[in-house]
Amino acid sequence: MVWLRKLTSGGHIEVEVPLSTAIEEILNHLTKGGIAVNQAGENIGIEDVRKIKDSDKILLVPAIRGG
Amino acid sequence: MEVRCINITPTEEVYVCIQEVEGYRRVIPLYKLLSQDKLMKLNVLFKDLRIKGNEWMNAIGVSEEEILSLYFSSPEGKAEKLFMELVESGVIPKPKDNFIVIRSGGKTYKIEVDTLKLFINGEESCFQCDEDLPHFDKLISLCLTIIHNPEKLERR
Repeated sequence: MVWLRKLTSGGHIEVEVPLSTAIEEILNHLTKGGIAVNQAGENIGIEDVRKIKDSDKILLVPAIRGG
Repeated sequence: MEVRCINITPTEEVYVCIQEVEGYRRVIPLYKLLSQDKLMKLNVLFKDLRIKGNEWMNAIGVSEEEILSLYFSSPEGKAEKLFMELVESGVIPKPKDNFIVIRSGGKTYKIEVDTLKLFINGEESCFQCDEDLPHFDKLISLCLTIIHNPEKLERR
């Protein structure tokens, strides 16, 4: 199981999901321009998503853009 | 804790309280946490200039512990808890004197914690986020964007 924390409107949500669901969710988030980091604060790019392991804690933050 | 009346829109005034914590100022949105009757009592005290020290809390029947408990159960407070956790684990730099300073991509980014004003190499810059995030969730997103993807903050 992977621990996902996602920052969204109305406050962040924390869910524990199976690895396959987490990978799908993270890929979806990254393709929308968001950022994913692991518990050590390391960036997870699209090419790194397959390296995610069970028991990882991943934080998903939305895209911030220059105004 | 100091009470302030601030404008969140040109016509809307609300009450917040300010608490100095290590490295930054915590702004607690009383208007989102307290019941209407307590906010009305606070309004009367404030307009009558009867806000002194911490007496206002006794006058409206609330303690500092209750305010903090309500705050940390709210989305804003939960976001600040996550922020503190990320600072503790070294993912986000520790704030000092109400600013977080990050050097990334050859530039220096400075964020004022309580206002979220962003300065890039000393010049004030703006940013936008698609989601309407609580204050500290927005701060986390901004810090991680600066650290991992600073080109997104280039002016468009």
